[in-house]
Amino acid sequence: MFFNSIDFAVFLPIVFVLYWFVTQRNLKLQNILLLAASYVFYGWWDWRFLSLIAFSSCVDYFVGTSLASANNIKKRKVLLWVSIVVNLGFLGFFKYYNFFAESFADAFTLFGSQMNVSRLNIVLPVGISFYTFQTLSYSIDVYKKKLEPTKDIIAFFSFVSFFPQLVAGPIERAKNLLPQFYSKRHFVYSDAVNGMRQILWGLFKKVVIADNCATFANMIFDNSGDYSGSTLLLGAVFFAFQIYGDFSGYSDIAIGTSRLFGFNLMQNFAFPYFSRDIAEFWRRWHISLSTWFRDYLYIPLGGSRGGTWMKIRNTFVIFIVSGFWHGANWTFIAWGFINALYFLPLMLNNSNRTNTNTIALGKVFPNLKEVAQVCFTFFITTIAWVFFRAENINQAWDYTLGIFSSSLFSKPELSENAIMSLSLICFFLIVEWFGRNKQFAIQGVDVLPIYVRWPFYIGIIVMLFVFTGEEQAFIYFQF
Amino acid sequence: MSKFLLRIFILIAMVYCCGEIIVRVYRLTPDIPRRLIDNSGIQRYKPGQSGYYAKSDHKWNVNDFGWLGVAEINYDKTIGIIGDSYIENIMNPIDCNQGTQLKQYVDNVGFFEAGRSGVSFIEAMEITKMLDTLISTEYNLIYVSSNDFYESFSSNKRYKDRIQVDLQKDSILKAKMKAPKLKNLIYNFKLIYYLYLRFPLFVNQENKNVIQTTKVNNGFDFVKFSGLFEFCKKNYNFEKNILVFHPGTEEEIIEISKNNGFKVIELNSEGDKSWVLGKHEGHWSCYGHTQVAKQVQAYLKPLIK
Repeated sequence: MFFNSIDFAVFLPIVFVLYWFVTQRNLKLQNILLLAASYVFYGWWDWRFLSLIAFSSCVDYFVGTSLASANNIKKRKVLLWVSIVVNLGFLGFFKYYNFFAESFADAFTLFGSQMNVSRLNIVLPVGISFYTFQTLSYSIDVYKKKLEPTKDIIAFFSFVSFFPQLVAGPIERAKNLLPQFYSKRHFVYSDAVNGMRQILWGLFKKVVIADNCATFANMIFDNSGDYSGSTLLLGAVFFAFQIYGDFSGYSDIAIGTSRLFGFNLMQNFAFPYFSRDIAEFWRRWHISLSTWFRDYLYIPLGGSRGGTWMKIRNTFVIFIVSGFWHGANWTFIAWGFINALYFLPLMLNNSNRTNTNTIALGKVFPNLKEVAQVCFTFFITTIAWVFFRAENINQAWDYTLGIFSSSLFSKPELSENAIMSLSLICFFLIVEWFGRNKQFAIQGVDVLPIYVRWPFYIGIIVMLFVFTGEEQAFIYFQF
Repeated sequence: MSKFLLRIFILIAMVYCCGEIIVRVYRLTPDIPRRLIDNSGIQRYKPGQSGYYAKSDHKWNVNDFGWLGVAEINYDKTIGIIGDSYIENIMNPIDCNQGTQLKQYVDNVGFFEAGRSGVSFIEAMEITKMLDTLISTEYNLIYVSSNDFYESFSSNKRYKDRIQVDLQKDSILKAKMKAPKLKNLIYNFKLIYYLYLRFPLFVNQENKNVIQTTKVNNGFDFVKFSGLFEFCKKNYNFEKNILVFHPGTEEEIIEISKNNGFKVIELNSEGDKSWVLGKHEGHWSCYGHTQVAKQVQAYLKPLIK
């Protein structure tokens, strides 16, 4: 079920009404309702994969309860490995089997021998990368005794499958989300209104910004040989806004929906395109994944402690693994590698934490230096996105060379609709700029008087219908 | 909670009002004429109505005979143009209609358009009968596609608001008006109609650009189609009727029509420019209508000399 579908527009009010009017008095019943709703939500796409999520939940639940009673360190390690092997095993099989099989075959071909591998016709279960990491965080935290294992099986199953963030995050930590299932939720007017605002802004990002940008990004990437350098650059910019609008839009809808049910999820995007360097960008982009890798991979590897080579190794490991998490394709690995290259000078220079506060805080406009820093960071990020979007490394390379050709300074080929999309991006950036110190761009409109606030809402809703782009599936569903 | 729900309700109402105003001011949807059903069971429009085409300052008018479009009856020879929404052509100004377009090539005859959305092949044949009685047409051009045939068989699926044929009982099943009062009401909610057109519910999931027009296409059935043509031979004047097949009509249907003695024109839409209005709107644009008329006149001209 997509958030921008009629199915969800019917589903959400039904669950909302049942949640607050029918099951409100009984916490257990409320959790059962959430669990049932989540399974319906997920099963709407393909009910067969419900068994996968149920099995994964069962394994981690029993690993958790067994860890509670296991004092023997060996036994604890075995239990942790059971969770890791099962979760990553599913992920590896469904997501990476074909990639590894083909890569092995290609490697053998390089050495002159032929190897035939059979490709499996596997459908990737939606959101497997997200809920796998969520359940893994539970097992690891319980193993490290940072979290008490739960005995409430309904709460645990609801935590794993919580429908707002099930298929595309934010990847919640058990420490934050699971305890929210233990305590009674109360309807808070301001939270619900904030939730609705965030859903509205998320829909705007997805339906108006991402879907409109997708039309041009697809057109330019699919026919990249026919365009000038300036148009190719514009295509990459369109893709940069498509992926941001698409993914952060989804996160906003997920967080907003959770607020309607009395849950607080972590912020997943903090206006990353206003970052002044690449380190700041990575603190603001897909925060739930970045922090997951930081806590469960980077720090266990030694983090930024140790010698220079250790730091370099850890930086490359985390970026390349993060790229690989996105998909079984060399383009994602290249994207991770490029970002590691961007990040490395900052880290080696100990300047990766220079820009930790919000840009131009307390001011209306940034200064010239900040403008230059933001533009440069956006430019290098956009070049990296070319590798993320391309079908293969060759296309990415040709596309990048095409951008840096002599035609980079020619007039880009722009249709009337493309100009309209650029105007929408400008409007979007202005709103995001003025809301950059909030959790989401339009959170601050609550201080405006009602005769300004409501026309603003109505304007956004009308734009949703008037400027709807060609419907596209959420990009992150494939991850 | 009640404050929250009340405010959501008020916001929805305000958004609806704004949307309704925008749709009406910018005429984002066409006005829909009201229908009536005559003694022969054929649905037509109430005469004397007028309204606007979508996104246009042009108006449509329902003529005294209850049809939209061209109605020239003061000629020695009149040619009937029968079909569904493509002929009704509520999406384009009347200058784009088949009657107007064909007139540019054949000026010594009158054209009479009888188009209405949802007309099936068998209903078109019933209309030929009516036109015969009314204005004694020389020829009838019947614009059809595969679906129009499949929708003619009541055994595939019974559409109560359309004329269909029951081959087992060898009889015509008359149409009934479906919820006319409700329709009158709904057509006044222009925003809902706009959303319905803009975000079609029945979209082919595999190819989102193809709007599903029918669910009764069970594949070509030779026995059924032979029965249909036998029925037509008994009840209608074959000599006068020319079937104009839309591009993409199944070959078997065209062949069996020819073999049963129909005059046939096969439209060919191959070329650089698309005939249709848009990705979600498969009806012909004015350009499409011009191209159709060009191909039809090449067949028609020698026939009426």
